[in-house]
Amino acid sequence: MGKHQIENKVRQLRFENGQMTQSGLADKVGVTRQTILSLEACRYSPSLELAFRIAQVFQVPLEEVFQYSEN
Amino acid sequence: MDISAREKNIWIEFTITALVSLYYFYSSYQLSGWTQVANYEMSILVRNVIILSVVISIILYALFARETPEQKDERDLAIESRGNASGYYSLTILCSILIGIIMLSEGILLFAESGTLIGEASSELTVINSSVAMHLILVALMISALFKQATQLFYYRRG
Repeated sequence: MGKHQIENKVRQLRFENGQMTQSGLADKVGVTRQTILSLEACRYSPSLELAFRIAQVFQVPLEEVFQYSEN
Repeated sequence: MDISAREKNIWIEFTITALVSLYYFYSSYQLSGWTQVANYEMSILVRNVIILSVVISIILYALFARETPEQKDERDLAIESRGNASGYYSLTILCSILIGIIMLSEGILLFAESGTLIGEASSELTVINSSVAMHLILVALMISALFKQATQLFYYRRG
């Protein structure tokens, strides 16, 4: 089984949604700014609940924010 | 350096653990070579260790951790869990090694008593008495605490 990684478009979506800051998004989804930073760098895979909350903030389907890809 | 209040607190805890442990182990070894636990000098040393840890805590927290840490989020909990696992495994390994050392020491002592070890060999025996064992357990606790904090810091720094 190959190595997989969860990629995301959080950074891109932040900018498309009125240049939302990392802190702004963090406050909306109830995590720290460091978690958003780590998530955008693909160094942290969020829980399903956090993933849904982020998608809800951007009002897009989950798969538009997160992609499961093979390295 | 982009660092959260929670990570700062772990850096401070790590520094306090390292400094206080080093001071205690160095001083207690200088005092009695770890052969005694309950005497006047040791009680003074324990009092000094408590004062030192309070003073270092006050200074470090006043200088570097003025803001209150945010509430733990899921990443903080995940990192804490990895730290706890690392601390637990290191403590298990160190305790196993310690049990091995004590058993080996007892075995050597039995050989010496039965007369199998004679002359210089029996005079150079290092017997692990309860005091030395207590200090070795403290070393194991200190190292596992440092492992736990170092693991947490590694994951915070990795991003």
